[in-house]
Amino acid sequence: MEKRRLFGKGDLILIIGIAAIAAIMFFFLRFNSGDSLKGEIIVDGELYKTVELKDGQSEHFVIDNTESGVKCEILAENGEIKFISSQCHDKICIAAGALSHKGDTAACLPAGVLVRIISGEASPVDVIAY
Amino acid sequence: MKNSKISKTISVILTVAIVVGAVFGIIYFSKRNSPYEESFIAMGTVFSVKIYGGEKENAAKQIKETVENSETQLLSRLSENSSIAKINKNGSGEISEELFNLITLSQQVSADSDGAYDMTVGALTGLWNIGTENARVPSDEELSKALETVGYEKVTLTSNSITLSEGQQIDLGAIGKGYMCDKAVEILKENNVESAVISAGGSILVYGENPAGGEWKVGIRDPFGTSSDIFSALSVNESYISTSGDYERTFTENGKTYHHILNPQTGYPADSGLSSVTVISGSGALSDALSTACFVLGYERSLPLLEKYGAEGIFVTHDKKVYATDGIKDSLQITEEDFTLN
Repeated sequence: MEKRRLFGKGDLILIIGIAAIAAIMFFFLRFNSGDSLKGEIIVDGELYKTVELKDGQSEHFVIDNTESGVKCEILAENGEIKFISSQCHDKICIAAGALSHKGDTAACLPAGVLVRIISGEASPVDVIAY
Repeated sequence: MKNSKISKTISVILTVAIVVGAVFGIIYFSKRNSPYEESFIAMGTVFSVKIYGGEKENAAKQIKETVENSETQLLSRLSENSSIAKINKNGSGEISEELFNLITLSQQVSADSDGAYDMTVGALTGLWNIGTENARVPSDEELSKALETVGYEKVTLTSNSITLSEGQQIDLGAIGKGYMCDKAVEILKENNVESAVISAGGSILVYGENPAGGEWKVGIRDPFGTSSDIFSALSVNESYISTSGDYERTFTENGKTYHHILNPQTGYPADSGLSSVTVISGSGALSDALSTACFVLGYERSLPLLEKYGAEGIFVTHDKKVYATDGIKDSLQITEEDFTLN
């Protein structure tokens, strides 16, 4: 009597195929879910820059072409993003501090510049009453 | 033998098709269930919308358009073409049913708060200009003159017209952002949205059920920290929440910091011992107006007002004492040790 093998060649191809698809699925979902920490700088309602926020990374942005003419500076550093200077009167944008949780926003209203975290770890609350 | 090969090939194709279908199914449903989020600047603040289910993108687009149109055509006292700017300029004018309803609510809260909230503070806010590049401390003479124009009871309102007294100016800034939350609800319903969080500066709407399960968790900003710092978390179902605080819009002159919530009786920034007030009620406009009124009135004097409207309140004093009305106390969790719930 011929001894039947547990896996035939076709079965093996099938298993490898399914494993490959599962791996593709894993990487697709992992890297397209937007889980990595990212911030957006919006100037006068238009997207100016999307910034990946990582430890050890530092990027400095000088926004001097606003419709209002009010200049401001933004620093993305070590997984956080914040306003560091502005020509505005009240400096509320700077007082807003560093943003690091998904959903956090800060704005320099006189300059028309908005900074927000669009992906990454969410805040422990659904929304903050300011 | 040949049949066996064919059936094996078919099984392989079917299995691969099922796996591929499952992959795209998971991706499709995970995207479908993820919220649509957008932030924009309008009405002198940041609006953030987060919408789950239904026609979420369409709803977000309509909310943005509605806010921008309401600002420029209806509510803004600075936008030349708005109804309010025209009424302020001419001293009178015809009003829509929408504006009549909003002004009626405004007048009602003014009367019930003995003028602690008063939409006729426009001449005062125009003098101080807090939140703009031209903020300054007005002279006593200027303030005295502006105070003469303040008085909700001097407004003549009919169902289709309004007449102001001499020099009187309307400012709906303390009710407008909350009112936008009311308008947002209509849009969310029209677009069959399941859940949403709308944040309009100090005014918030949490709509529908929290997709994460349980109640919505609303952080209340630490008045002494940055805008991301909270001192407590409030657990609520669908609600309209408004916060007024002395940290929102400020300017400093000769070493003294002035905030934007003016006392309609004195003409100066309100000083009732509070750093912030959060009000929870069944309407965005009402929560907004009440939070301003309560900030001016102070804790004790606010309680009858909140009771009259069936609203709840959370009060934070300058020395970090927290007072909450009975209906909300059990839903409030203090998260920072240096704040004490009384």
